[in-house]
Amino acid sequence: MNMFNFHKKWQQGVSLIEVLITVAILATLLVTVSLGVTQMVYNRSALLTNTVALYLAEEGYEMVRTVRDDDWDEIDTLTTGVTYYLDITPTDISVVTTPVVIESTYTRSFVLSDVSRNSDDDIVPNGTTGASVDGNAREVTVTVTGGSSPQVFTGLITNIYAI
Amino acid sequence: MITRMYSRGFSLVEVLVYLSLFVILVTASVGVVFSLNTLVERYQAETALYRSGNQVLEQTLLSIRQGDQLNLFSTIQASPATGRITIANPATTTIISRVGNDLQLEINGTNYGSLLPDNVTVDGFTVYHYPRSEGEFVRVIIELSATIDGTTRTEIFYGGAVVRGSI
Repeated sequence: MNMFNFHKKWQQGVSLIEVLITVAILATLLVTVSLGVTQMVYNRSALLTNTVALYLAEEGYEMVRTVRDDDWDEIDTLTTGVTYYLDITPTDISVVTTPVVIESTYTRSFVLSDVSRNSDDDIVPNGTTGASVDGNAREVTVTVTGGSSPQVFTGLITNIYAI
Repeated sequence: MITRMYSRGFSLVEVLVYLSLFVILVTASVGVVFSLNTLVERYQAETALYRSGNQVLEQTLLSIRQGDQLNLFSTIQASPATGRITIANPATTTIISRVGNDLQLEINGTNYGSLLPDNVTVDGFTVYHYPRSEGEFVRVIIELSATIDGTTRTEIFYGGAVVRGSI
């Protein structure tokens, strides 16, 4: 009986619907693998551009520090909450208010914020009761856009030369 | 019954449909395989760039931050033309230099070889320094290329640090 069934099916061959189902399964597999690999490559590209942007953000913070090293007044005269940019030439670094685009891709900006301290000189959130703004410190937030997503680097600078 | 089905065979329409599906499937498969191969090469090249850029920048920035501020101008020489930076403090002298399309690391006279894997080359290694009234800022721009088979990707990394040293 089994031999007979096998023989019969072999003789029937493959029906059109079976071929269509097989093709559909193979096509689905191809599309799934393609989408997976494409997403993987996209993620790696994003990681690369975000890494470049993050180094630019860290460099931006270090540049603000070196502006501070030149003269604290250069920081003190900047307005908190205003977006500034760094203009870099082979011989000088300066703070400007017009956007500077790096390699036609990345835009790096920074914003200064007040730093408040309590009676123990500990840093506390701005607006805390009893806290006062430290005139010799600023919080620097550097933002770099142009990568897959904005990269932000935040740090503190102080007027170390006033001590 | 068995004999009838066997002798019937495929109709012309069925054969044409099968052939069409076969051609479409093979064409699509070959196209996808070639496309995926290119994508995977790009993935590998960007992975190599990501790792190499991190490695070179971290090594360079670490060395800069360990520079001795007391002897700043005599210990840090930035030479954009030659692609070479020498950073020294009382304990360590680090030299990162471009040799052809490679970046070599030397610490206290010992050559630690290339900072880059075989499939990554350096197309540019430029160092700028900005002396300020207090301290100094050093900037490094590194252009790297990674080649995997027929795929080449290029990326420029920027990094900079204030020389802290011993004040």
